Amino acid sequence: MIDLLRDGLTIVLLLGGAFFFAAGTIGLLRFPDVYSRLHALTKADNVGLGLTVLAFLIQADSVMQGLKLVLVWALAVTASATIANLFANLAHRQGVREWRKPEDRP
Amino acid sequence: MMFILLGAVLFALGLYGAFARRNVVLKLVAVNIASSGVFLVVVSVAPPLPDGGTDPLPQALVLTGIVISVAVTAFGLALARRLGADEGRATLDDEEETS
Amino acid sequence: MSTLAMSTLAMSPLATTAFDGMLAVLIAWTAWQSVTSREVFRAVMLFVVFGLLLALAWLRLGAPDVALAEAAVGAGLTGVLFLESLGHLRRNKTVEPPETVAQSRLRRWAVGLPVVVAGGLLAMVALRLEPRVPGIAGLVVRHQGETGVSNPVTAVLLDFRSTDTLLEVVVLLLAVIATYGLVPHGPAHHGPRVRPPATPRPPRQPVLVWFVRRLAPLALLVGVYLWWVGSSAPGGAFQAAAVVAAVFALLRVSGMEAAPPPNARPMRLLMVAGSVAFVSQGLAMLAAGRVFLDLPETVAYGLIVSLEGVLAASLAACLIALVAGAPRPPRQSGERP
Repeated sequence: MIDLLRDGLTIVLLLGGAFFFAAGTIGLLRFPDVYSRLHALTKADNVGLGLTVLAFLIQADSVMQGLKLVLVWALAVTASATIANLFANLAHRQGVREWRKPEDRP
Repeated sequence: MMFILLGAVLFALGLYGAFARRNVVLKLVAVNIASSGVFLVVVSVAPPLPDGGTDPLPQALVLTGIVISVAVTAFGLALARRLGADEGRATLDDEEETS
Repeated sequence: MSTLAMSTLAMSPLATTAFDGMLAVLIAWTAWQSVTSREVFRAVMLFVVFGLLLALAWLRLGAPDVALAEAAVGAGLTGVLFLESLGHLRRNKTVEPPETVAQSRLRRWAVGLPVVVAGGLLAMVALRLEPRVPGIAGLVVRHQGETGVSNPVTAVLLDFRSTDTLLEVVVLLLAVIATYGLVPHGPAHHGPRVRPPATPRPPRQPVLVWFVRRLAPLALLVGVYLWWVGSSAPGGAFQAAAVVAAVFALLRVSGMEAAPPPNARPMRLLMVAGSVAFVSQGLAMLAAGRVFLDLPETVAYGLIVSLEGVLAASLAACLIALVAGAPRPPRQSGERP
């Protein structure tokens, strides 16, 4: 019974993670400028990865295994934040303007 | 099966790049792709062990192969760098149109 | 991960075949894009993605040792090597030179056709080979006990086929020596001078520095762990060396110069140490009346672990030297600095 509940929860979490990954990917492909694309990529991917790690965390056999999963998540989140910062910084320095709605453009 | 075919495709793609591309760095990227294809074939051709595991011998061969291709790539890039420093070009053509 | 539903989900042959197929298509596609790209930067980036996907394929093939090496080297170090040399090429040399339509068509056919034939032949021969011949794998499994290590790949690398590994270490050392030998030096150097790094150093990125400060020690720890665990689980000297060298590359791109410089004397000694340790182990066995590079069963485990330790440090030094490239030529006294 407990096993069944746990498996069900894992599947739900995995599907949730997949949804966020898909949303992030669509954002990456469809958003108009580098800043909003970064936003889509990092936010959605971090939540997606978080849900995926959570899904595996409740299946972990030992505390060590769980800790490793959390470490993977923490590293991926900080790395992606750092890289997003680098990208945005570079784009900003190169003078890439943020996208605006056509009617708001000066 | 699938990975043997993938290996052959990568080998062909890499070979194409190594001959068809003119920029030496692009040639080296292609050579790396071709050797990855060969590695895939070497490991996936071996029959699985009785317990379903992968044959360790080709794995060890491929590990050695990966190190060798890093060494070759690094040396090739050093040659490319020297070519750029001496002649100011990045292709192996006999003469390059001045640009 | 041991519950029932999960394992049935994971074992479904249809799901795994679909996953493998998708992975294979993605890998072939990135390779195709990389090989046909006109811009070197784009080709290199696609190659890095290709390497990461390939690491997944190695996992699917049940070769985690190779997957680790591929992820650290194929995707990491080789990519850094390519990017480093890109910085040394002149701006207009980083795209494929233009050519006429007739030229490119001729090239496509003259190269494309033989290459397709070659790939087809490889696939045909490889698929023909499939009938299961009893391989050497049985021998490895049977004699593994004599090596004292429980990771069969490590047993092959450091014991059964240690000659290969010795020569591999020597090849890497030779690559460093050859790279250093290519430094143009002295007045004999003519031709148009190209100022190597034409781009000014970008300002230090505080966020990147923060991240690298925390990541570097952790990654170094991973390197040591990979060496230590290599005797019983996926890992080993080379993967450890690749991770350590990647840490160095990371420090380099984030503007934190690592001390000592890669070509300082201690580093040079370290580069040679691997080959020296390996050869002297072999010679010691000869002197003891055994075969070159033989590992007596009683001391095999200790010898393998310590030899791998020396190898890891030495290989890391070699890889770092390759990433850093040859040292600048010494300035001639007559030349204006």
